[in-house]
Amino acid sequence: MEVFSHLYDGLAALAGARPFIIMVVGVIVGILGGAMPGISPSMAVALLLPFTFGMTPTMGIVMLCAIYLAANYGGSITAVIINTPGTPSAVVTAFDGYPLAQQGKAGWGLGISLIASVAGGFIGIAILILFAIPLAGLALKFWPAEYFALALMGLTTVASLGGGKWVESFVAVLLGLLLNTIGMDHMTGTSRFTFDIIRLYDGFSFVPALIGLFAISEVLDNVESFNFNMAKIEVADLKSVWPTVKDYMKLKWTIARAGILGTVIGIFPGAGGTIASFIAYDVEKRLSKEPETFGRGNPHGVAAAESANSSSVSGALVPLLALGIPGSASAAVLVGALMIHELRPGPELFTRHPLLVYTLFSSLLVSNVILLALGAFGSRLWIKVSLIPKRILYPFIFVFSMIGSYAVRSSLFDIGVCFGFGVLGWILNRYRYPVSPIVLGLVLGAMLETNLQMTLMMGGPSLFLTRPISALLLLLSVVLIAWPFIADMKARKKRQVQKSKGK
Amino acid sequence: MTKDLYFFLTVCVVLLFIVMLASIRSGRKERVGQVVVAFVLLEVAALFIWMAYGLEISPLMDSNPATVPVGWAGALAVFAVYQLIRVWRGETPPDPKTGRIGKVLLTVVIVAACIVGIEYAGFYIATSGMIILMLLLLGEYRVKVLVLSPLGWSLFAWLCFEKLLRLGLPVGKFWM
Repeated sequence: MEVFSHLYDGLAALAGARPFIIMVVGVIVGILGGAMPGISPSMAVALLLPFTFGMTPTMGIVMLCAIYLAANYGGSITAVIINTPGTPSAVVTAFDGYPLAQQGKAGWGLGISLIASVAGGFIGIAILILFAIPLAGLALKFWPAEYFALALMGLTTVASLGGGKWVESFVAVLLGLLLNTIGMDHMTGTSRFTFDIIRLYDGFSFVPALIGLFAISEVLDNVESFNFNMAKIEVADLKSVWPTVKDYMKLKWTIARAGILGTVIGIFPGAGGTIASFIAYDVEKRLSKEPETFGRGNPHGVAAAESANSSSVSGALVPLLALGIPGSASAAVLVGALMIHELRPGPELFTRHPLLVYTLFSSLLVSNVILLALGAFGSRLWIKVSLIPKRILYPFIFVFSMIGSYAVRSSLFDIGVCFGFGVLGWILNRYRYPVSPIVLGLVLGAMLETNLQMTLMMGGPSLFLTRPISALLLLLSVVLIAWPFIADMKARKKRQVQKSKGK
Repeated sequence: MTKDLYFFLTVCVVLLFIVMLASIRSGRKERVGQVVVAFVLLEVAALFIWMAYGLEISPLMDSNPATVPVGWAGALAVFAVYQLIRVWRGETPPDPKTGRIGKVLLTVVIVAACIVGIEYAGFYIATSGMIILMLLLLGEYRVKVLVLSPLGWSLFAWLCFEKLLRLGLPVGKFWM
């Protein structure tokens, strides 16, 4: 009952024109950011971060979360209509969404993706509220040893979920952690690797680094590969019939299953909406009596992908709010937003700023309703805006990145940092190193180091093993590091055996 | 320290060239980019470890500022070596085909010039110049767009950042 009363307080904090406008703007920007191919949800959240400086911390976070939520839906619009997923997680939506549009049922594809997104969003928010509160309560009892082990496990999960790129992911995480050590040591005050540059004494400012890694690197990548003289894109007919309530009801179990699955997957750091939508799609295909229709315009395929994708947003917020560990790249940007407003994500957020947390929960519910309204009535407009030529869009991403980096400390040096990280991200991305783990390394580096040093001072290294939760988490981390190594070795041996048999 | 650092960096550059040449000569031309990146990361790890041992350690403190950087750099070195082995054995896909590198380099030059320009000419002039140059570079030649884009941006930035968010944007040394 206490939760409902807090949620009511949160809703009351959202009463008034200003919060409503902030959420509407957030949802519009999110849909557009998601719909425009070349702008990822994390890039949209990072680019809009400077606009929150003039807001209260609560309203700033509310707007960024609205962007994050809506961007994941926005990606599906272009996936259905022009077979160009606006976000990586919308790739799966295009599998069945675009065939529906080709059959003259674009309205069906859009309607199902919207309803599944919104329903999945609600499922995710419910699970977020149910999980995050007890988890935060448990985390309040943690010692530094547990925090260190938890952050380490979060990072190893990110890297081990890198699939075929697991080595590159581990390298990226470690590079982020190493770059985080530049600046003053938190415990001793010793300056490290600063080359006597005063601006580096506080380390790299987090926001410019992540704007560079998410925005600049992606634009440079597109400048290298994009064909700016694209042929005219065929837009499917939007006047087609949209599904009825009866049609939506046929998808209820698909949406519910995918919503729960998406939230659970979203909780794991690094998994995110893309993995969630792929797994949910696969599960539905296996459960279906007509698996051969998947990929040819099966509405269950669109519903599963979109529900999982949307619910993963709330899933990613569970570890962020309860433990201070971001579950996705966009959630890592939210850490930056909280830090700018001098708030520390983690269990203390629930005890020190409960109104902020519950306002955020309530805002997610309201933003989801706004998303439903704007998605239903504005699809034609979103498509038109999303087709802005990239050659016009990209210069503006550069100037937004510059102003966003400058705004943090009013420092030109930070614009240079943003640009430097952008070039670094472009080079690494080019050679298959993902950039999200670098950001997570930068975010969690300070937490890891402080808790490690505190544990060492409190009782030495043995403390990590004598505290059961810490020992268990460290063991899991070791398994997560060793597992891809062993799998790689096995695959290599198998290849060698096959080669020798072939000879 | 500075002299030693220059020596260290020179050795790194020389070693990088040797590794690059070796990978080309040994028939790994299609993965030379990956070799270079992995080797540079190994060198970065080595640099951090070397510099960490030069850090001041206070005898009054239980904590050592070098512990964590050495730990991360050591792990980075291990993974970078493992990656080098994978690339050398041909277990990774070949390097991506080179796209419009010329355009990327020009973009980098334009943005770098803009960052320098902000300090001297101010935010509005430098970013407007950058927008025009970037539009031309990316193939947008319509005069209307070339004129309206920087003007629209300047107006938006002034209204939104200067007036609404009260963020003082750099005016430039020339105008001070």
